Amino acid sequence: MGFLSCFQKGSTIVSKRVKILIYLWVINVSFSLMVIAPIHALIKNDVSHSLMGDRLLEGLDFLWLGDVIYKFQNLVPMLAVWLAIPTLLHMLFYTFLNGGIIGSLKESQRKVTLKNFLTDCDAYAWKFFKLFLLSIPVYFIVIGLIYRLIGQITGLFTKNASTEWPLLVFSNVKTILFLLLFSVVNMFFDYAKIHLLFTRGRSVLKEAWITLQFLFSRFFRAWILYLFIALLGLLLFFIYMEIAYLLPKNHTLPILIVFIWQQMYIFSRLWIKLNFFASQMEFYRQGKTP
Amino acid sequence: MAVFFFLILPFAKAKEQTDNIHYEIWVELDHQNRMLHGKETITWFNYTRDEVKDIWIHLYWNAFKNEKSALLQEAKTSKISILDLDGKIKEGEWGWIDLKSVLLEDGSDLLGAAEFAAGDQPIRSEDQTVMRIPLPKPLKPGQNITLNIGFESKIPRALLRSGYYHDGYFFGQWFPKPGVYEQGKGWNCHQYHLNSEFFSDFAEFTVHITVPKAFVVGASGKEMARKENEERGTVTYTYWQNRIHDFAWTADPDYIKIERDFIASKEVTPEEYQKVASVLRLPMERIKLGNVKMILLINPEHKNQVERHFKALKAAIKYYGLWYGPYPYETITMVDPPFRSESGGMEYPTLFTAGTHILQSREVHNPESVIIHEFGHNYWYGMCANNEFEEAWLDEGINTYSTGKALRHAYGGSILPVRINGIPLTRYSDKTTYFDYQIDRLAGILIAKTDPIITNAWQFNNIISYGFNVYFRASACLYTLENILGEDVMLRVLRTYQRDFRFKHPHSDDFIKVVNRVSGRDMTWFFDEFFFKANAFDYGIGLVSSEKVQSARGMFDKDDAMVEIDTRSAKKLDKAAEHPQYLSIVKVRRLGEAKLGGDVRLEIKIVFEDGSTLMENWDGQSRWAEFQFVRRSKIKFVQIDPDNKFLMDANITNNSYKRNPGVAGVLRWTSTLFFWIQNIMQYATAVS
Repeated sequence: MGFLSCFQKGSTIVSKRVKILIYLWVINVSFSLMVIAPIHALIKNDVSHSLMGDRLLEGLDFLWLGDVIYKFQNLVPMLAVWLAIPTLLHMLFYTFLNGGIIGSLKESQRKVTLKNFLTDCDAYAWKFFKLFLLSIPVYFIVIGLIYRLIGQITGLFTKNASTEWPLLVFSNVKTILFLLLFSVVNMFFDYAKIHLLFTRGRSVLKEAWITLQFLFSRFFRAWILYLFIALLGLLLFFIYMEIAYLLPKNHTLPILIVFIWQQMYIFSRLWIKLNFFASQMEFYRQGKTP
Repeated sequence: MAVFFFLILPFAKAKEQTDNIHYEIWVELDHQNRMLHGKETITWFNYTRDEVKDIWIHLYWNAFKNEKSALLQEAKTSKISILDLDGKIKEGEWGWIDLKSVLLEDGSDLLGAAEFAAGDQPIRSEDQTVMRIPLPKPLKPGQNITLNIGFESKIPRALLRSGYYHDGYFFGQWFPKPGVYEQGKGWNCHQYHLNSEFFSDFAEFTVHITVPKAFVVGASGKEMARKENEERGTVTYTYWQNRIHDFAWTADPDYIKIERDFIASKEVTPEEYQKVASVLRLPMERIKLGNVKMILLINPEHKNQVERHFKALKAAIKYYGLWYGPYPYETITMVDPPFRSESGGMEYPTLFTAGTHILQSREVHNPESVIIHEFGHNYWYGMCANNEFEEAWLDEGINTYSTGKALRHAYGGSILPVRINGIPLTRYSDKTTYFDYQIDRLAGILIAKTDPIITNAWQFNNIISYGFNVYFRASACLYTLENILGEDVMLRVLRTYQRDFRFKHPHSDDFIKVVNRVSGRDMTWFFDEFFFKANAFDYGIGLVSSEKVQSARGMFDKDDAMVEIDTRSAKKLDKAAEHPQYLSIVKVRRLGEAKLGGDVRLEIKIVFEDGSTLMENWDGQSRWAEFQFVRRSKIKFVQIDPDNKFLMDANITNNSYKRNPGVAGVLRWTSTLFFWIQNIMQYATAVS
């Protein structure tokens, strides 16, 4: 079965699971609001009574930027922590949500309800959390150490470079290699989750090992599917950027339109995320079928 | 092989009073051993009324000799990782300059009595970047002395504007160079410091540079001769220039050398001449520019940016020339420095380095801004040659201000560059244009409380304070001065300052005197407040209120009797009033330590809901002031400094207050921020 067929089947399943997209969007918005609320209050308090507020509608005012940096320079570490904590919590919360997402995609005939979704979340939360813990050293080894090694190798070409070209080429090669490495590890853990959900196995380590064996024999086909969806995500990003670039932003209504466009993009990101699971699940199903 | 040898100008040119040193230097690049072998004849003229007992000489390259040099000591304690210079220098890469002999014309050698001098605070006694050479007998006023110096230098691996990387060389501060003798004070000859540039006397230079034949050479001044030695496989270039105080050169086999002419009649229209002449109140003949030979040495990978380089240089020659006086030299050499030569964005008289990237967005004004800035140093540092060790703002500050003006005239606003892994993605940045003065102001307000602008360069709190103060804060203060005096007056100030101190060594006091004289106002307070002190400047609105005037209650005298107006009757009176009146109160505050002075007042604009406007002003001396108005309309908004004259105001947001708040502008930016936070959240889930 070709990767396009897997993707096609996967996206058909996702199209019937829009409710999950809404759940995930609400969760994303809730966590993001947690971060933005105090920042919004801070800025509103600072400029809403100032004529500077009107100038901000026209575009970024560098005099205002100067004011902001001057006034809030000491708040930067606090804001960084303020952003990091909800992001971390959101990330951990997804180890809980993944059960619900994959469960709902697996049972494509079952109606999506919040109750079913949460039941699946609950059923796999602990296993997926263990899998997440397992992924940390793997990411560290593969991305941390191997990437560092790649850095050292590319460094050999750039260390004594006589022009800027090798730097430009190798820094981009390094970034691409990083993304490819990340994609391999990420793909592996996606399949491990899917496998766990299908087999309901008890030992996460053992199931991860079986997943590795599964992927070993069909690695390139699986990887092409993964990269295809990732590239689709990248394409959506550039479409978003191009249109956002064209949209006016200097009035209340255009701001609203831009906001809606931004949320549409967030939806498309979530759609891509679901497609990763659904298409890979389809690939897994096909692989497991004798 | 053809042998070039042409001598256009006689070396024995008429001696200019401005040049109190004559150099003739013979230097050979030993590419294999990374060495320079040099001979130098220095004739120093004592134009002062002092008897001079010794000569102090800079030996800048000894800063790279060992970790005891002032520069490397300062780098070590700077706690800024990019300045870990000693860590950058590997074994065999140290650089130094070693004097072999210092001979008088009679053949006696003064080297034996010479000693290193390290007088700057804090004392770094083992620094070897300044040498004091006692003279056998004092040099009387009007006399001169000739020293024949033999020297050898180990070229350091490129760092701080000097050295080599592969086959690319840049030579700045490479030869033994006397300090500046100041009448009544003695030698001004500071050590080579991390946070500092240079100071030296005007001179006539004749420099013979010998390099392997494959190298393309660029140097200060004008190429006078070129002689090939086929047997040795070398070429000797002779460069000459007078009325300059430093000499730099570069050599790299990969350079592409392109020459073009700045033809004044093509670049400047009669209308432009007319406009400037009228602003400067000068006759047209004094405004007219001359032609200049522009020489570009560019790396092959940047060849597609040749036009950008010349366009920017032409703009710089044009605007600096029109505003501050014609560029007086015949040539200007623009160097796109060799890769990793650590010499980008640096000025030398008649030669400067720019610097660019392979992929450079057209919307971003880089390398243009660097080219304009470094060329501009020919005016501020080159001709108006202040002491960069002690008053760096006089060149960096004035030149940063001038760069912003020239860039704006030639190119308009800039767009912030966005690059990822060297690939320009400016297309997706917010397209809001900005001007240099806004960036200058940002850096200026951030650093205002750290050090005064006028501080010895090496005695600033750190390199950031040095850079932000002398470049950006000084520039933002000059923009503020321009806003107070008016653009035309400011232009006349700078033109006069350039004219009066061209080929001299001006001080801050000289500049202040010119400001006062040309503007006809005493602006000394301005410099006291902004240049000699480290205070924040911030005026803001403290309170704005508009309340309906209500009839007063209480006992009132009426027809020899007392009448009481109680609450009820007061309300009745208020109701009966045809046109209610409003009492508006505006309180303005001085939140910073810095304050206004002289005849300058803070303007306060009060706009009422009926569209009427009222202007008030305040001397800004006390901590606050209150203004009250009784009008038929409420206040809509109040704004202090409505024209943003005081660019150094650390908080422009609090300069205005609208009674009715608006959130649309806030929403525009917080919604964008919200969107990117949503994305960050989503990225993080990839590993869940």
